[in-house]
This record gives sequence, structure tokens and C-alpha cells, in this order.
Amino acid sequence: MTTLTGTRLLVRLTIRRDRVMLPLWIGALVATVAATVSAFADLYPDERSRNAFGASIAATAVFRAFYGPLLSTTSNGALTAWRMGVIGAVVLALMSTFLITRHTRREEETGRLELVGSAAIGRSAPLVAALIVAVVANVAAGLLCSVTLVVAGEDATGAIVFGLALAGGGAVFAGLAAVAAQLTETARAANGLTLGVLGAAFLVRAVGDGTAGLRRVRWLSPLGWVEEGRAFAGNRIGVIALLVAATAVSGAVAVYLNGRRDLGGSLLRTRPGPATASRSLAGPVALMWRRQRGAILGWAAAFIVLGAVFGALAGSIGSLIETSPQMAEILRAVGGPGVLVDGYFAGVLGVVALSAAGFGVSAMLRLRSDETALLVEPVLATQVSRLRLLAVQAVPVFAVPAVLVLLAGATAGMAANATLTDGVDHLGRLLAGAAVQLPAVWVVGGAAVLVFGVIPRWAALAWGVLALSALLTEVGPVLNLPQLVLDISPFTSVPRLISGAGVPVLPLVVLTAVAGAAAAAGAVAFRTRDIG
Amino acid sequence: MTAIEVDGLVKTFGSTRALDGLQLSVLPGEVHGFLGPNGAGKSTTLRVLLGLLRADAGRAQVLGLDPRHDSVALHRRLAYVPGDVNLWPNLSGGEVIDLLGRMRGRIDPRRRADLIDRFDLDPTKKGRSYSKGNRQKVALVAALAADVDLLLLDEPTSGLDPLMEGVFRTVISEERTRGRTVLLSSHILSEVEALCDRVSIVRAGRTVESGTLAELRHLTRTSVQAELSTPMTGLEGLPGVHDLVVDGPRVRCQVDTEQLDELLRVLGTAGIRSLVCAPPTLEQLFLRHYDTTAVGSR
Repeated sequence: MTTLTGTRLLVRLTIRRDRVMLPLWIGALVATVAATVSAFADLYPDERSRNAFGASIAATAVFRAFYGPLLSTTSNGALTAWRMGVIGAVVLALMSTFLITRHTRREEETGRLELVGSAAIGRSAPLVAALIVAVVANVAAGLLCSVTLVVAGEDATGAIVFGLALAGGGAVFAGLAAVAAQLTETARAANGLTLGVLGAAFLVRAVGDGTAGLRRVRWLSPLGWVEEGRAFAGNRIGVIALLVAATAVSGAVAVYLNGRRDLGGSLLRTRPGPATASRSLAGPVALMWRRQRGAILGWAAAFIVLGAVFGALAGSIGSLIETSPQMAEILRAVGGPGVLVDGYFAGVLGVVALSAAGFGVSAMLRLRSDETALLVEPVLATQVSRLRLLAVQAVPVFAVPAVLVLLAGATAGMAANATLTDGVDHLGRLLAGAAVQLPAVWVVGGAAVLVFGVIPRWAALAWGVLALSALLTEVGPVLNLPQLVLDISPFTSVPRLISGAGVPVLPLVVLTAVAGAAAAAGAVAFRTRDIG
Repeated sequence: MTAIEVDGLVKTFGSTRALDGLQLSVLPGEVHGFLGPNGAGKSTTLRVLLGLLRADAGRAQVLGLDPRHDSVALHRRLAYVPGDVNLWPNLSGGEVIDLLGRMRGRIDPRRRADLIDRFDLDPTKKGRSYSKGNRQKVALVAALAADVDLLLLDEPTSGLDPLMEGVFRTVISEERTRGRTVLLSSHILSEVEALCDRVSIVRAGRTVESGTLAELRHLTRTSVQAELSTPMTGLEGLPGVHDLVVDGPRVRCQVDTEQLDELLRVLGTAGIRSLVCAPPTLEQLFLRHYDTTAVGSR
């Protein structure tokens, strides 16, 4: 087929360009799987301790919503597959999305694909090459996870099903990202579209897994299929075939669409704009809004839905207690059902705060990518000063994440008030709980401003700050890390939910001061450093 | 009082010495050509003049202001067209022109409309749909329609077709008549010759020549290749003839532009079968006048 001429060469080019990026993604996932299985082996050495753990998981809606139900307690492999199944597939889906977009739509947007396309290269070759590399990377990541589990002494069949389910989950999103790259005109929009689908897929199965009686809903989501592979708990190979088929179909659709459109064209077209700017488009504030309003409004909508869904899910905790007298007994022993609901909301607020901090980081890095794209230079050549430009950016970096967290807290509180009948004002408590997360969110934003100002070439390290915080806060306690290490994450120092004891003011003040100092240091450095 | 005064400017990027003691002096109201091959340090100089880069050593003053400390006050009085123009993908060309104009201070709506018309620009297209030349036009219209004293133009014609280059030359002559100061960086000698009152020539971060075009006349020799009906001798003695090579009926030489007429008259006496006259390229100039090895290896 001449449309595929040069695919092999482009596969090599793709691997050459990603030789650092892909091993990092895969290595991080495999290392986390290895750490998780070894931690479980230490914590739950025998079947009895695993059964007790399983019972506590079954009772906690937040665990089911985030990780899915624990299908078996017969082995540590099963525990690891539960803990890392959905999360691992999400990690591989992110890797696949960024990989596909980077090598297809981004190449087209920058004009490099035009250069490649003018050579003896088939029309579909660049897309197919990117898909091949994505599939190979996913399978490699999945099988390395399998090997890790086998080395840890787990059952080989279960380990292979686990690895292939992860790989399949990632590969499906490679196919979906390839389709998105045909629909949109920019790499940013293609990423946004695919990540939106990924978020929806996660939410759909979270609702299915977290709500009693809605188990089948998870079949609507590819991430639910990863769970349904039932690694170490029945090992359903047929579901893996479903993931393979979905990858093949989406990939084929992408290749078909790619063959039908022009270079640089897209199915969702941009219309011509106005010949003159409206009166309001007059300065850096208006420019920031025009550039980022889509992202800001989209994230706000997502946080409103996320808050409402997780708030409503709290209702399932109450029903669980009513149906099981034994469970009610256990709960009274640990401090009453209120503790369970609090634990659930604390988990939700933690994830909400981390995601909002992610928005702040991406907003800051957007200014950096504008700078390298020579879009900052013409603005700074006008009477807009550097400090003013940076001050405007404080809106998406600090203010918007705060609003996002409060929005999610508010909708979660309202939904909880509607579904829980315990007479507690969940709206007030969740709003307060959301508010105390803000200093930690701002510390991440401050760190982003700092790296932007001081080491602009390494500005992407801001993601590292966020990833480390997330890892320490969400996974650290399970790995039994010492408190001193956990305290590196600002999210460890903020209370998760306001109890009657009142607000510990000092950590909040200290964190806010740290955030302010980091941002100020970044601003001072930006004022004097070279642009470009 | 000079519009731009630069003295001993040094800027290094890692081990690369982009500017190496650069001198530049631009008088108010003149169109000053800033001429040099690619990588000579022209764009770096302009970025230092805008305060976007910090010089490692040397002094730069623009309109009597320090570009680092008084950048906002300075930027209110100048407009800049970058060498690589990139536009915001979701803004139309017209919106970019207005936005940049407002951020600079004022924009003259009548001049804006006139320039859009003359440059034959469609202002309704979105940033990413423009070709390189059209992005260049957007930046040019935005800069030229601004009510400012100084224009900093970094290779502004690099993406324009010959027709638009013509429009650009006319517009710059008008700017001179209005009394604006223009610093025009270029690597095209003929463009600078056509537009500029004075020229500074840079190479490898250093100013190698500076003066009026008349003062630099020795740089603008014409290269002549002729094939004659009969071989002739005695050409060495003619004034202004350099690098003469005679090969039977074929003659090659360089001649000072003001002596061209005399040379052609003498050649005509031997009967001219074919004749090629060409202005020297910038690279040839550099090869001839300055450090040959350094430029040749570039």
C-alpha cells in the first residue's frame, strides 16, 4: 500500500524523539506497581488480613468509586490489580494521548508534517507510525507490569491479564486521540477532547462502581473493561479482545478520516473572525481571557459535575449501613457512620484540590509555551510591562483554581444535603473543607511561577512538583512512608475536612506565605531575565 | 541627541558570543539600515534595544531612555516588527492589529484601513490560517498604524512578494517624510540601498562599517562579465577597475559604480558580444572586505 510508504522510517523517528519521554512514563508506572505489590505483601501477609482489608474496602464508597470494587482477596496480586488497574490504565491513556497528539496534530500545526509529507512518505504513514509506537509502548508497559508481579511471586496468568488489560486501556485512548487529532485543528484542542473523553470514562465507571445497583454502568466505559478483565479473579481474556477490537476500530476510523481530509484541515473548522477587535479586546487581561476562556469554562463545568456526582454518591454510604447490621456494628466501633462520610468527603476534596492545582500549573506553562512560540515578545514590546503580564497570569494560576475547588465543594455539599438525611449541613462543611485546601493549591501555583521565572527552560518541572505532591498525598500513606517525607507535599499539611475542633490556622498561614514568597521570587526573576 | 546610541554591546548565549562589542548610532528622523548576514547578531541587538534581553556588557540608549529600566515609557514611543511573526491562533488578523495598537497606545483607524488596503490583507482570517507573508503583513500594519516616533523592523520583507516589497518601500518613504526614525535590519543590500540614509554593517556581533551610502560607495562595486569581439589590453589602467581577469576575448572585473560608464565605453570600442552586470552580493562584499576565513566558514 503506497499510503503507508515510509511508516518504518517514521516509527524510528518517533521512537528517537520520544526515547526519554516514553521510558519515563513506563518506568514510573512499573515502579509504582512494584512498590504497591511489595507494600501489600508487607501489610497483608495472609488471607485473613486481606479479608479484613477487603471488608473495609467494600464498605467505603470512595474506594469503590476511585479504584473499582475489590474482586478477590485470595492474593496480593488481586489487591494490586484492584489498586493499580483503573489508575494504571489512566496513566497509560494519558501517555498515549500526549504521544499521539504530539506526533500527529502538533506536527501538522507546526508545519513539520508538510516537510515530511513532501518526501516519499505515504499519506497515512505518519498517523500509522504514531499508532504503532503507541501500541508498542502500551504493550511494553503492560508486560513489564506483568513481569514485576511474577517476580514478586504472583500467579503468571493473572499477571499477564493485568498487564494486557492496562495496555488495552491505554491503547484504546491512543485510537481515540488519533480520531480527535483528525477532528480538531490544534494539538491543544485534540488533547482537550481526548482528555474530556477520558474524564467522562472515569466518571461513568466511578458512578457505576460507587453506587449500589448500578454495577453494569461500568461496561459503558473502556476503563470499566479494564476492571472487567478480572485479573487474579477469574482472568477474562475475552474482555482483552474487546479492548483490542476497540483500539483497532478507533485506529481505523482515524486512518479513514485522515485519508479524506487536507493537510492542516480538520473536520471541525474555524470560521473567519471579525475584521476589527471589539472595544473590550484592549490589553493583556482581555488577551488572557480570549486565550484561556475555553479552558476556564470547561474546567468549571467539569468541577461542577464532579462535585455533584461525588456529593450524591455519599448517599450510598448511608444505604450500605442500613442494609447490613454487621457493618453498622463495625462502624459504631470506629466512631459512627459520620466518620465514614467524612473520610469519603476528605478523599474527594483531596482529588479536587490536586486537579485544580493541575489547572494552575497548565495555565502558568501556557505563558511559557507562548514565550517560546514568540507570542510574548510582541506584547512586551508594547507598553505592557513584565510585571503586569505576570500579574494578569495570576488570575488563571491562583484565582481560577480557587474558584474551581470552591465550586466543586459547593455542588458536592448541595448534592450531599439532598441525598443524605443525617441532619448535618454538608454544604457549609464542604465549603469550609474546600477553602482550607486553597493554600496547598496555591503552593503548587507558586512553585510554577518560581520555575517559570528562574529556570524557564525547565518550567515543565512544575508538573513534577504536582506529581510528587499527588503521589505523596494519595499513595504515600499506603506505602507507609515516614511523616517527614509525606510533609513535603503541601496537601499533607492542610486539614481534609473541618471538624468541630476548629481550623488549625498556622499551617494555612505558613502555606499561603510560602506560595506568596515563591510567586514573588519568580516575579523578581522574570523581571530581569532574558525573554525567549 | 541620537535616537539610538549603542556602545560596546556584548551578549553571550552559553559559549556563543552573539554580540561582541557592537556599536550603533541612529539619528532622529533617518532610515537606518542594519545590514549583515544571517546570524550576525541583528535580531539580538533589536531585542536588547527593546529590553527583552539583558546585555552582558556595553551601553544601549533608545530615545534617551534605558531599555531595561524605562521599558514601558520607551515602548509607548516605538513599534516593533519581529523577524519571526507568530500570531495568536484564535484571534483574527484585524483583532491582532487592534490589540497590539491599543497595547502600544494609540492606533490611527484611517491609517489602519489604508494600510490593510495597500498591503492587500484579509483581516478576518484567524492567526493560524495566515501564510508567513501574511503574518508579516499583520505585524507591519499593526506597527505602521501606531502613532509612534521609532520603528524597529527586523527583516520585515523576508516573507513578502516583490509587489508587496514595493508597497513596503513606498510606505517607509512616507514614514521618513513624517519624520519618524526607522531602524531596518536586513540581509539584502539592494533593499537597504533603496531605503536607507545611513547604514551600519555587522558581522559576527561587531560593527564593521558605518556611514552614509555615499561614504560606503566603495562597497557597491558592480561585477562585470563581458565577451568581446576582439581581445583587448590596457584595461588595468582604467580608474576604479579591480580584480581584473582577462582570458582571451572574455573579461571579468569589479568596477566602482561611478566608473561603470567609462569602463563600458572602453569595452564598447572592442565590440561587445555579451555583457552581464550585477551588484555584488552581501556575501561577496564580506568575503572581499573583511575576515575571509571566518565568513567563509559560516
